[in-house]
Amino acid sequence: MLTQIINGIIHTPSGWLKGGSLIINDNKILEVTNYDLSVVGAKVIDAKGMYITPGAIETHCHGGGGRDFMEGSEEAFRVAVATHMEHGTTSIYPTLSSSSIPMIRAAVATTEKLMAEKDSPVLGLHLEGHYFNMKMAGGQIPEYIKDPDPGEYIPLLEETDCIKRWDAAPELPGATAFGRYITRKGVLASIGHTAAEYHDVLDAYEAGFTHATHFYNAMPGFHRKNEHKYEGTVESVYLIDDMTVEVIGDGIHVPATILKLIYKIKGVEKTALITDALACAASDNPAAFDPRVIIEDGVCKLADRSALAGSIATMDRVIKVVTTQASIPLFDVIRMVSETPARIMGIQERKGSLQKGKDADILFIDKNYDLRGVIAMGKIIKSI
Amino acid sequence: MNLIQIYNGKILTPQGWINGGSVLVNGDRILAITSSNLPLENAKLVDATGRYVIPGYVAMNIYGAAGYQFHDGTVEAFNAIIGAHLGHGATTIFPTVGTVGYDKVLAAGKLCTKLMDGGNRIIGGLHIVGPYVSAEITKGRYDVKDPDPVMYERIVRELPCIRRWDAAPELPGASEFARFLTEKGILAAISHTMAEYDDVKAGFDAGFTHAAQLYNSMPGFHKRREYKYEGTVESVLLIDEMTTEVIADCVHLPPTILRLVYKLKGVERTALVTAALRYAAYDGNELAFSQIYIDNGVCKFKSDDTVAGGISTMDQLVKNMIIKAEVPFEDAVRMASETPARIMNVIDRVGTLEKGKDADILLLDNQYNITSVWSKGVRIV
Repeated sequence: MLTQIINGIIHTPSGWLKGGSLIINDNKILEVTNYDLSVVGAKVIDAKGMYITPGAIETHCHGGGGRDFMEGSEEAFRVAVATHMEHGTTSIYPTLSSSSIPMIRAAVATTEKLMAEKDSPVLGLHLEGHYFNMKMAGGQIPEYIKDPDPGEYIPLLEETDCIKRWDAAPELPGATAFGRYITRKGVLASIGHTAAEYHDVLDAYEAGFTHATHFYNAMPGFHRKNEHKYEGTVESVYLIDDMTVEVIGDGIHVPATILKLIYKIKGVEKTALITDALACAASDNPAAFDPRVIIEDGVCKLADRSALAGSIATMDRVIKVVTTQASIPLFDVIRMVSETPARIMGIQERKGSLQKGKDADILFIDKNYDLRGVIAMGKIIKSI
Repeated sequence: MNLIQIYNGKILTPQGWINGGSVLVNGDRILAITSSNLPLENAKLVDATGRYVIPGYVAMNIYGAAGYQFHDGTVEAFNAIIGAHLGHGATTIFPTVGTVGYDKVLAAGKLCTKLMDGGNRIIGGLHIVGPYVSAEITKGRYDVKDPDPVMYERIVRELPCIRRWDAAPELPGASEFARFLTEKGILAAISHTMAEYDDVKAGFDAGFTHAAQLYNSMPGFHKRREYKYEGTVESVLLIDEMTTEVIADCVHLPPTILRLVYKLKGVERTALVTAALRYAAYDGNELAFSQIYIDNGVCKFKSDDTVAGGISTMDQLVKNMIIKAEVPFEDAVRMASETPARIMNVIDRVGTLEKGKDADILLLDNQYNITSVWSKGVRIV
């Protein structure tokens, strides 16, 4: 069955396309055409002059709609995923923050089940932890944090291939072996919750850690120890051109100026935008999932207000915030929520841009950069 | 004609390296850079023995050496400091005086003017730092003030030698100050500041086009309570046209940061500076009257042991950039010569080896050590 989306400004790899149309056949993009004449047999959707963009690919998200992926249950997963889909996420890698191995196994089972469903938005599991630097733990649960343990990670990755990304602090003993092992297994290795300086970051990069988790957050920048100065993880990541980063685009975890700087230095092709959303994102329940955390001014904080603990952002908010506050062109903002994360996760053959043959994951965004419609795998999730 | 021909060297020109050419010096100027080694009639020949022939270094942000600081305000101090740095390749020097009180600034400035009027072309002009800087950054160590037009207009009137003045752009009146300086042809630089992006941008728009000692005496990305803010560092990096300088002694900043600044700001916007205090190029005893002492290759304040300034010389900075920060040799040299000359607006007479420019020439061996210095055609080392 054909659907033809007309009267929109279409985000294509070669720029904005006006006066064209996007034709969907079932769950795939059949064509992006440069005319908007009606195709025989196609159901027409009038985009009313809005932007038509690829769906957002979320690579770092803990939950939403009141449910956390750490719960591990199918229900929790379904609620959280459905919530984010309403807000523009058409593909998602559910994230567990530092957890016990049984908790990871429960989430693995659920992830595998959802991934097996036709047209699933769930593309794999993301483990944020638990091999982290305790000093940089932030909102992670300290009891679970430890050094990389091959006795845990090897059996786990032998059992399942649904884990697509795993974050660790590269300065820990055993971290480079961990990086090499998981990379061989096709898992993206990312540095996070770390105090690594240049040599650790470079060693990690060479061992396979090609990505940096919530850049600028839970890692040091240039700093002083006694009277001497040292580069932090931030500057080290900037020095390694080929390293990719992700940044929380809620406008709070890093200020708009820093978003602009990352965009300028790392560039669109190396920078993915994430929500890092907690369960309380897009939730009617005013309480946070975690009792140590409060919600205030559009963000989760530790209750003593000593640090931020995660965001309540959704992808629609990220798109709007980064476009309006950091003054980055919408075209590039969209690439940083679609094309770049697709490339980082190795799924660019089927997702990340509006091109013939790719999955029909589509957003409708109005002139105020508000999300007005969502199509995922050809199905209307949010009507315009 | 008093002709010197430096031949058999690798000559760094604005167009790149010339092998097998000559630098011809006539009196105090460069007569030509030629592509031939053939000896010229009546020329005094200097065999460079395969060494690098590069432009003399331009030192901006430099307080002292050899036991003296420019704010001592004596001919003896000026001569000793200039002589010491000249031996290390600085053939153009902009004497720096800090927040030491108006009387000392005026005294040093009057002497500077007198020496320049008397034909000293090594001195490029005076550089004043403060007193319009952040009390928070300087930790109450100095008598800092907000910019005061009565005072600064008087000083600029009395000291025609001023070429650069540093201030914190967030202070009330700082934008007017920058506009005034810019109108007078004086470089306005931000330093010892707490400025975040809006202040840096407003400062830039008012004329603060240079950032002193990037990363030092200014905040980077930081947290206040739970929220995060960009610092002066990131703000400077966001404004492409803003030039900067780094203290490349590898103590004030690690080599990784030097390389990052090189990568992000680039050769044409980054100058190397020593911020050298009186203990640079000095092998005497510690001076009892001084508020500073040497420890681990830097000067520190006796009061609280924090870093006060450098003891390096321009030749060491260039070596650090090449060896530790792994920057290409010619780029390191340009950051010590051409770029500061352009920032300080003396590129028409120094900073590169070109016809008609001052004959400020260095020979470097393959370990980047200086083996000869010509200053205005006179061989010093």
